[in-house]
Amino acid sequence: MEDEKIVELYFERDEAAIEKTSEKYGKRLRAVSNGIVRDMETAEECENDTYLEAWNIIPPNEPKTYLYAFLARIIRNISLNFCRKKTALKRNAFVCELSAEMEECIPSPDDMNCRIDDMAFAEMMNKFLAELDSEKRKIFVRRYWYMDSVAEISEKFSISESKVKAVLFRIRKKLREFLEKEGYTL
Amino acid sequence: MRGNEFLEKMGLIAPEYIEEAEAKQKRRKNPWLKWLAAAACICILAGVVLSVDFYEPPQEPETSAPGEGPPNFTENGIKYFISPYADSVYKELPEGFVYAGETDAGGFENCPYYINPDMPEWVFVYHEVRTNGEVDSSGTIIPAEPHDAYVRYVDERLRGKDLVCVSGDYYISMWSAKPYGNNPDVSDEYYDEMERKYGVRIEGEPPEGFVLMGTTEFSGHDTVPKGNLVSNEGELEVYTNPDNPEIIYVSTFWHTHTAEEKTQTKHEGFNVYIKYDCPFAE
Repeated sequence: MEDEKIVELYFERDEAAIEKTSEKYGKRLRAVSNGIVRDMETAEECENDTYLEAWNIIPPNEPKTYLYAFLARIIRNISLNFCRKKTALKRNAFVCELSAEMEECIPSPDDMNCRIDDMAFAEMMNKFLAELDSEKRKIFVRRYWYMDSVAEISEKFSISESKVKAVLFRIRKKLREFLEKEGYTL
Repeated sequence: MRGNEFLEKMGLIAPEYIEEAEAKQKRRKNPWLKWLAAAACICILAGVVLSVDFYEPPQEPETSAPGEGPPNFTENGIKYFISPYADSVYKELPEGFVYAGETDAGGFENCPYYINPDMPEWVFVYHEVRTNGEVDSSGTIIPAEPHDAYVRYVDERLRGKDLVCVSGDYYISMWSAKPYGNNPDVSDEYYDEMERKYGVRIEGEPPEGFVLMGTTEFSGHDTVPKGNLVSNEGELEVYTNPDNPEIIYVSTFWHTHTAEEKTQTKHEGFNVYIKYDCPFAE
């Protein structure tokens, strides 16, 4: 079924919306979640929570042209929160590691709440990502959106782990310079 | 802001970058294979030169780029998408299909693909999968270790289409009919007219004049149903009206749970199927 039709079902408050969403995107969403939580049962739990969240926020949202990305964003947040809450989960340590890497990009990290709103943040990151060449952008997104390990990226892109680390290091440096130059206060 | 917030906000990046990075990376070719291929070419060059006058080169298959949706490739001008059904993964190549060349599909390079002249709507591509095509009792695909298998790719004009064949006439559900794009199933005007007249789905009893014709025979997923009362969706109750052959109704049910409804409500009704020119009709 076309995404537009599925979104219409959400608008009609028809539960078939969830069934159709699950049929079309369930597998991909589980894969995104499993990549973050590394536990299939938890990933399935996150998937169900994603459908509930989608049900609650469509409407007012109307992601007719980007339904998958919309759902993927939800499941990423849910999975990330899951890792943080369940400290027993080994992935919590990995999330901390990624957070530390991200912090390298922030010109003056502090403990204050974020000073930049979501829309401005998205605009800034999209501008930065648009400047990267396709392969580097994919590596960066795999690491910090999908939360892949260096070994996984190395295998996916058929490049050595040391090269993956070097590419990520250079992109983080470039991002920091970009933020400084553009005058973003994070 | 600290790193954890930054990591969280990475979730806000543009959808195209998320999809771009999700697509499988192409396997890098082993340089030795390239040289071996070159050597092989030299060996057969003489034969090629002799037969070149009688040889029409096959059309080079075009392949999907990252972010283009499900894995797909184009062969002889027809775009084939990977089947959405779990039962599309085969250990053995189905009978009647023969090797037709190599293509890039599903993010993999140089995958052998197989065609069957009697079944042009399907192509099988041999590449890596992460399931044996089995589902559990809830219908969820059971994951498996990555391995190579024959995967069904379906002509885009058939993939995901809910069709019913009634005495040789084809009907497509309003849910699955596509009135736009390169290969629309029906014209925009026709779709709008049908939607205005009949809607996509109705609740309650079948409209006057429509009576139960029978239950369809299931022809299988991704197939072109052929015969008197056959569907590629499942066993369905079909209602027809001899005085109005432009549509048929297929019984269905659905649930709603709106803010006004305290509990889930079951609705019974009919999906609208409209007559259309099936490109696979014989």
